[in-house]
Amino acid sequence: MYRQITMMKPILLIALFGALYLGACTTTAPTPTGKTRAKKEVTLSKSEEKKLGEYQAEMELGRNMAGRLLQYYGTYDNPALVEYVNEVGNYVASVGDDPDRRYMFAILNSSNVNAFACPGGYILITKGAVLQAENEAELAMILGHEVAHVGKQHMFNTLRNMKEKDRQKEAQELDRHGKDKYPESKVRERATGAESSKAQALLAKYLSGSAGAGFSVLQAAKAGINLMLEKGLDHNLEFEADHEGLKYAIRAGYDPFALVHFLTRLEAKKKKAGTLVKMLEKTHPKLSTRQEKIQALLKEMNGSTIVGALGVERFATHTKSMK
Amino acid sequence: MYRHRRRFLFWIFCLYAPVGWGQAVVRAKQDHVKIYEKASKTAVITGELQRGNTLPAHNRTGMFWEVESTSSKIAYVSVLSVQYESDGKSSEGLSSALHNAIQKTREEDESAQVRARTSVMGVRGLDESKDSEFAGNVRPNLRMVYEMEDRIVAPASLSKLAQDVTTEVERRVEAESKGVSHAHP
Repeated sequence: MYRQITMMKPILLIALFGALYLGACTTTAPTPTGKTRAKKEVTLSKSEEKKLGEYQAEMELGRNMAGRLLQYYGTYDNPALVEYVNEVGNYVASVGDDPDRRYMFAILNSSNVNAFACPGGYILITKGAVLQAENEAELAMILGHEVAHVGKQHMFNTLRNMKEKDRQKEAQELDRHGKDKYPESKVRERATGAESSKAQALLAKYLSGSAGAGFSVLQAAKAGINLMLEKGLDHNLEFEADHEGLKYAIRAGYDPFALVHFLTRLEAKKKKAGTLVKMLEKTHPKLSTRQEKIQALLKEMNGSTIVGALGVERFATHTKSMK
Repeated sequence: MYRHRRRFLFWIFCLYAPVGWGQAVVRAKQDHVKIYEKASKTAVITGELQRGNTLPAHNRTGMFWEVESTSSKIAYVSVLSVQYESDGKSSEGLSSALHNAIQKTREEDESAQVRARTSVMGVRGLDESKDSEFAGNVRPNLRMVYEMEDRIVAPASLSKLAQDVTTEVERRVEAESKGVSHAHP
């Protein structure tokens, strides 16, 4: 009997060690009530639970922001292309620094060259940006840049760190100037009018179930949209997104110089059709400065010796219907 | 007996270590993957990895991954012979819980919208057929957002894309070794 207990000690030790090491605890995630998946209990570690809370808060805000952009621009109706963009984006994200997040991609029906990263993983790329890319590697770099914005919580932290009155100011600015500033004024006009006065308060009240919290989501979302379309994020955050996105795309196996080629082409395009890149220039650092910074990073990574994929044929097959 | 137990615990520790530390790793895709002292195929070989073995990965330099060897020294492995795996990729529970949470808030949103619409019409005495368009414009287009959320990329599609990318890189490396340059500016 004593011998049996002694022999069991290592097994007990291993079991205890394993449980501690993997950090599993008995906390249960919210039970699903969705229509698309069956109920499934999920056990999360403490750190995962914390992450889940953060992601949820981000998604609440991101949903509102993405919903507005989708409403303003509309989506480009090409399911096969949207699926392809989702594949490339998720592939790049899978080797990024935050692969356990959800990344969802859609194409906005706008000729402007731009892409938007809303908190929570809602990434919107314009039809113009896809058309401007020449291969899959360039698309991967653009999506990698947006994935980095989400993963590093650039927009979320910017809004969180704003003082309440500054957020209000940003939101009011969007209301005041909205319809004159956007090329797609027709769509925009309808949304702006509806967002004002009593209707706004009503929406705020019912959006999240409580007036105070709802209003704050609404304010933050509007302030976020104003930043995205008018001022842009801090330039250092844009450089960081370039830096990280490039790293992710290279990890995924893409050509390291794809982003430089894309930006060089945009620079040239600016002279001929400036309006298409006007918003990008307004909300991002100068194209030439971005190129310089990327080149410096590539030098550091010994980029000229990296052989990467371009995915020319795959990209051409999927974008054939656009051109 | 004590020595055996210690050795056993050591192997269990080795098995869990890469997962527990939450560090990005590279996993050998085949047997006899060479570990180099420097980022060059002519550098001294300091060890080998067998298929499935992992090493903590740091930065990419040229066609090599900078890794931490078993003796905690910086070493290099060819990117073509290993698979990079990000930190946190194993957290299936979290993505599943996130999906559940999204679904839950979605249903709450949907019922709140119905309440909001009913309330607008009830209070103002509006005619639903004329004013539902206005009520729809009040809020962000959540229908389109839900479409985004419902689009799930199958793991098989990602694996295929990864495979296609790797195949192209291998083809280009081979072409380069035969003297065809891939010409970077």
